[in-house]
Amino acid sequence: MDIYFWIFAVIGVAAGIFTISYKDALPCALGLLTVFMSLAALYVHLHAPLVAIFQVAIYAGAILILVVFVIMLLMTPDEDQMGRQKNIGFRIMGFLLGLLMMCYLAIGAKGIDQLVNQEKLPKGFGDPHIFGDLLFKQYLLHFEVASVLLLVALIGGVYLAKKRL
Amino acid sequence: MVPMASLTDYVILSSILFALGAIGFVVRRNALILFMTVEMMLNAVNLMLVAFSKFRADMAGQVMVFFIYAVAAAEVAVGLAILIALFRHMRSVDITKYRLMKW
Amino acid sequence: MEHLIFLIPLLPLLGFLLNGLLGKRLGKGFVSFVGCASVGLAFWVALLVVSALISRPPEDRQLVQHLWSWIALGHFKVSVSFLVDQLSAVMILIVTGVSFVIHIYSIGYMHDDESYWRYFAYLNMFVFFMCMLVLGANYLVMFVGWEGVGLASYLLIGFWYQGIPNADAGKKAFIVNRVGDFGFALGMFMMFVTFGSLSYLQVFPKAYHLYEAGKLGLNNPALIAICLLLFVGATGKSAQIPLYVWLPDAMAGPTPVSALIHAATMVTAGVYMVARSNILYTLAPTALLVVAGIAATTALFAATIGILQNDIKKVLAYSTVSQLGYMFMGVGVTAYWAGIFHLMTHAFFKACLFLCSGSVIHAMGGDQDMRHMGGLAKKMPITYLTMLSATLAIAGIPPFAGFFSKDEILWRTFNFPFYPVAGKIYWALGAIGAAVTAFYMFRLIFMTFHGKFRGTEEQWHHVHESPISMTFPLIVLGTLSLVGGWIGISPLLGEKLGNVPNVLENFLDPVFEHSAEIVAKYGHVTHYSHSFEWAMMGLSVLLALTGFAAAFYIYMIRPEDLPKKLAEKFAGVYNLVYNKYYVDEIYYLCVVMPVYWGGMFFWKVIDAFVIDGLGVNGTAFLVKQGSAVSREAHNGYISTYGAFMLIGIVGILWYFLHLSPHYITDTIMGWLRAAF
Repeated sequence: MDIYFWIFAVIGVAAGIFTISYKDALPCALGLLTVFMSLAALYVHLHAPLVAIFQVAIYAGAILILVVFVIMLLMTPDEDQMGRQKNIGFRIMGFLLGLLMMCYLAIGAKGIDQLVNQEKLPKGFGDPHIFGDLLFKQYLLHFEVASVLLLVALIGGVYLAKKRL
Repeated sequence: MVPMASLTDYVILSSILFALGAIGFVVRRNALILFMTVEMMLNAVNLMLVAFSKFRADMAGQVMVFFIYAVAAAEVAVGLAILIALFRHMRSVDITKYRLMKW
Repeated sequence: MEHLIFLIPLLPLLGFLLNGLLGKRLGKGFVSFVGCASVGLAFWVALLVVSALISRPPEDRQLVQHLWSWIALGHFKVSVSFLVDQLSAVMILIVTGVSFVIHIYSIGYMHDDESYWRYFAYLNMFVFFMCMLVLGANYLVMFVGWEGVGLASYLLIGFWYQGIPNADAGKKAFIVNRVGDFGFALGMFMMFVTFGSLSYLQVFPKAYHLYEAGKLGLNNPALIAICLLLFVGATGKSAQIPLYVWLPDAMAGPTPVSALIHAATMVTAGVYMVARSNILYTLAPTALLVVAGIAATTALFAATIGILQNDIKKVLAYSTVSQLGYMFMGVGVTAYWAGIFHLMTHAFFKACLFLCSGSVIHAMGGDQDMRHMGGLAKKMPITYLTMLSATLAIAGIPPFAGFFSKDEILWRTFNFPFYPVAGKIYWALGAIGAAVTAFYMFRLIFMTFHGKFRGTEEQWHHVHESPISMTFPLIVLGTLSLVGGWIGISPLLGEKLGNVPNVLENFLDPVFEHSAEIVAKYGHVTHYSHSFEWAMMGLSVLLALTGFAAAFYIYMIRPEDLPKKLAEKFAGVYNLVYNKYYVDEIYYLCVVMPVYWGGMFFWKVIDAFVIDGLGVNGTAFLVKQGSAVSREAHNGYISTYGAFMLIGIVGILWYFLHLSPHYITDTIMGWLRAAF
């Protein structure tokens, strides 16, 4: 019984449910933050400290800030009335479908333990320098493409933010 | 030695988070919250990747996660910019008002 | 001389092409010359070929010219070949000879017509097809000619197509012919299936050998079917019951056309066909019974209609139908040579009658109603004498041609080898028909040429004898009506006259010898005494004279009152016969209207409603309605699109994982138990 896993798993799921159900936008953002942080903790447990750092820095630090800023910019008092879909059938259908999908995904993974490489992890698994080694040697092209993508996003963002498009 | 949670547990957790994200996407009306649910789905996928990376002792999973971060960041930036531009026209983030692309 | 046979059809074909393509530009002289010369040359070549034929010994009289292989599909091989034996020799001489005479007549008759060139082109085309029909060495070449003469007939009947009734008459002829041709085609199919070939030189020997070997008995159902189907075609082409209705309407065409096509040549194609297929018919006596029966009935039936018609050409048309009945009676009782003999004499006297009537119509300025004629004999002597000669021939008065052929037919019918009882009945019908024939023909003569003139004054002034181009053919044919029968004098008479042989019968015998052999073996021929035969001969003449006397009494002695009184007294019968027994009306109701309604049904219901309405428009409607429903899926809500994506994902997962709810619940229970 991996207590570490269970604690953060429960926190994450509870925060997720909170995120998708609360009426106002800002509490939802905070719920999302909680999800991010619990996942970061789980990454640390999974011998991926660098990924955890990235999770906190990028998601909690950049994306969430951006979202909160936009909430601040766009939220007018009238908008608070807005919550979920009016149509109850829609909500039920969505819920059922999601449930079904969850079951499929989870149960489809039954027996996945056989695939697992149960040998001991190599020394230094999850260390940044191994990560960097992989990133800049084997996956260099992907890295460059990602940087081009970010450039494009940057240009797109700047253009879209103009006063008159 | 702390007993490790098996891969199955991580898969189940990941799928729960993904399903939650999907449900939220269908059910919510606020465009911003829709964004947040999308981020939640992406994170569920990240969790799955990292879990597989550890249980198969392959670092490639973590590198993939890194790229997903880059893409997610770019997507949020551009998406929120679009949302703001839309807001200037529609004066609302209620997606039921964004009906121009219908038949 | 075989290599010359192909010229006989080729020359008229060239005439048709020249006249058709160049005739309009090159004027009447060119057209007349080409038209007549082509047929004249064909006649001359025919003479050469026939003389070459005669120069051979009787057993060997068969000239075959093989032109090229037409169809070669596995077992079905048909070639374009010509066969000249005694039968086709007689036919080709009649066809080309009478055509030539009528072409000359047409020069004068059609002189004022503006489509002069078209007329001669069509006429030459007709002669070409008729030659193909008669000369063909297999049923398919005959059928080409068969159809072609039908086409030429249609074109020529509707020659003055600007008048709707003329065009309608042409259509009627072609359509009714087509019905018969359908039967003919079916007969050909059966023949191919049964015998494996359509060539005369293969089918007939095969049939005979099968009979000789004992494998083919009399009245084989397949053979009966073939013969009857071919005869259906003959009823269409040769105007027997039930497909004779086109012939009276065909009188809408120019008179020389009626003479050539509807008297002398085309309508005789059916008789030729039966005579050519004699071995098949003899082996199927039931078919013969049917043929002779229909023929005898037609002979009397048409004759009765003829007695009340007032249009001179209509009388002759019904007379043709009736005489064709006699010809079929001849071939129907296995007296094939007699049928051909009557065909020949009929060609002479009927063509003469039609041409004379054309002369009369010309003189009357286009009026064909006999009630306006009378007393024309003084002003048109040549026409009168030739017409009288032809009338005496058709009535069967010796020594004119018709007597010999008709008497022979009646005698042989009385002696029908396979069905003696039926033969007596048919004879009775034919004999009464002979009397009626004499009656209506002399009625025609008396109404037209004798008595008082009943037309207008200016018509009387216009009456004149026709020019030499028209009277010359009349003289030729009138003479032939007198002497033409002398080559077929029956043995009884021949002995009396000093051992005059029956030239025609002797000449044609080899063609029919197999049939004669079968008839001799299986037929019941009663040998009557010579005196009985003389009595029968005398009876025929007596019947003819009775008809003459009746006509004389009614139309010469009491023309003013008796016809009207008789019409009033027997009003019901009179109306029935005058209206041609309402056959056309019955056909209209029973055949034409159902076809029309069928067509309307297929048009209005099936085409317009089902195919257009339900099929085409209905499909479009369904698509439109379906798309009206399905496009609601694009309602613009992002969450809807997201929901569809979710459904898609679930679907794919279901497809790939195939998990049942049972399994899902079991697994979840297992996990929950494992966790706690």
